[in-house]
Amino acid sequence: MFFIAFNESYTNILIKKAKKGDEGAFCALIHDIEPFVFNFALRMMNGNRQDAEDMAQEAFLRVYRALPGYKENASFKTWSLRICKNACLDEIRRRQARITPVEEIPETFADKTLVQEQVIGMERREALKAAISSLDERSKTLIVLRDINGLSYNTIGEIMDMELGTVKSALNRARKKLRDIIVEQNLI
Amino acid sequence: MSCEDIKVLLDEYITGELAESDKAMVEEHLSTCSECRREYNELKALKNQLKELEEKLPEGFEERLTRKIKKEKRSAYFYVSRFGVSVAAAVVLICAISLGYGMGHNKELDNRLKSMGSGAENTAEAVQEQAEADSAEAEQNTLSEETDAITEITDAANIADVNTQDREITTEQVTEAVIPKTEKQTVTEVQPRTENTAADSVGTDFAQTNAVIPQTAEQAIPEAEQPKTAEKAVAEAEQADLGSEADEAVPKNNSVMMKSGLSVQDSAVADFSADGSPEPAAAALKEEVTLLIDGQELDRLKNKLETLARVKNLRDCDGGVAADVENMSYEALKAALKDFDLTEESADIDEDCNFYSLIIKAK
Repeated sequence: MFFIAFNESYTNILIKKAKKGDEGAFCALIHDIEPFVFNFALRMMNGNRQDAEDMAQEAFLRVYRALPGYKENASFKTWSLRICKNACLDEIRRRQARITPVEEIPETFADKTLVQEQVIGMERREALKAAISSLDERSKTLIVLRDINGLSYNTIGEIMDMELGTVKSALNRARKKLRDIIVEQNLI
Repeated sequence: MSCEDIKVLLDEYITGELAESDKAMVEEHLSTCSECRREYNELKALKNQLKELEEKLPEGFEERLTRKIKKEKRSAYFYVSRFGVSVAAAVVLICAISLGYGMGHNKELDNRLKSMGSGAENTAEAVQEQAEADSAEAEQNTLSEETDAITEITDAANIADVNTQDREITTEQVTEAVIPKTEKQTVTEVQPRTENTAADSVGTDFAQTNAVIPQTAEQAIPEAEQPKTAEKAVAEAEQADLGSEADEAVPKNNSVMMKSGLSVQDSAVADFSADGSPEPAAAALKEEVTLLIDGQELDRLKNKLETLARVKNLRDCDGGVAADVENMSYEALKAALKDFDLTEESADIDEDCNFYSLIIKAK
């Protein structure tokens, strides 16, 4: 027989190790939410990938520093996502003046080899991105969390500290605003 | 069902989050209401387009993040060597101030210890240790909520404190009297758990094994245990590979010292000492995960872990090889378990056991 020490659940092991500073364990812990945070930062930074990466990594550093205070009474995913959301919003407010302006449709669409439908599709995508960029902070956050990250209403409510009903109505209004912008620009 | 009511449900209907009854209701309404059907189509199209905006993580994202985290850790160390003493003094002050905060933890621990039944005489002592440890923990938590800078310094200071403790242990004879409070607390906590684990279904297996962490075999003889611990602890200290890896947060001296092949002690102590933010509450509540794998796989895993343990110079009281997952880096653990495709789902969780251990048994 051979015994090694382990734990009640793998996530809890990772959390314990991460609290002790094990960066491998920490990365495993946040692995699943990395795409969420990156995409959130990406839309918040209006499509600038470098800014988004910097912001996402800074957000995770904040999670790492806050680890000692994590009490395991809330789900780790929700707890860390909330820290990331706040980190991103703090950074945006700090940089308010320097954020890249609303994206313009890139030159690449001049590529003649692309089929008409593909061009239209890409244009639509870029237009949608631009429309999201011009939303107010809360609407933008909600749309990204719900429709791009695919998080549940409950999770969103916990992350944003909002009531369920409020999340739903705010989200509806956000989508309506988005549609209005798109229609107004006559792009879709 | 009015159209307004249905529209509210459309989002979750599209994502499949609706309960069966609500789903049926929506479908029924959509089949008859063209207005809502149009709304549904528009929403679905928009959501699909938005979903397409999701992008993949950039290449190397995790590597770059890991580098930043390592830098973060190193800067904490920097504070230690630079400010060592004065920071430690500041921490003591802060401890004193926030002592009151930790008192609330006592009741919880009391209940846990009571529910473990035996070792009642140890409760009071353990609770007292717990209170002190908890206040230290509370202090840690309170500070980390304030500013990042203070958190770093606090972490570093605790690391410094632990380092000091370690040196004391390794150079002096280890007896009950000399052992710092934390270890003592751990030892007394362990005994109650002994009975639980012995009573466990895997009791007989424990007795027979010559292996790694024969907690119950050892602890079945509580009398003999203490002196044995002390002797072996000293021997181990001399052999111990102290703070070998720069990446691991804190030297694991304490846990090696108290090891004696007892993983419960290890984890409890490791929890406490490793990064200076003690988790004695966690030490009180552990479960055992039993993995059933057979012959060849078992041998391979055993060999892998033996190699790892040799590298880390871990020994149990019989001079056998111990491998303590608590003290393994995550990467090492992953490497050891990789071939075996071990996941939470493949493990049987034994509800009766109370320690932090994975038992790998032959099928």
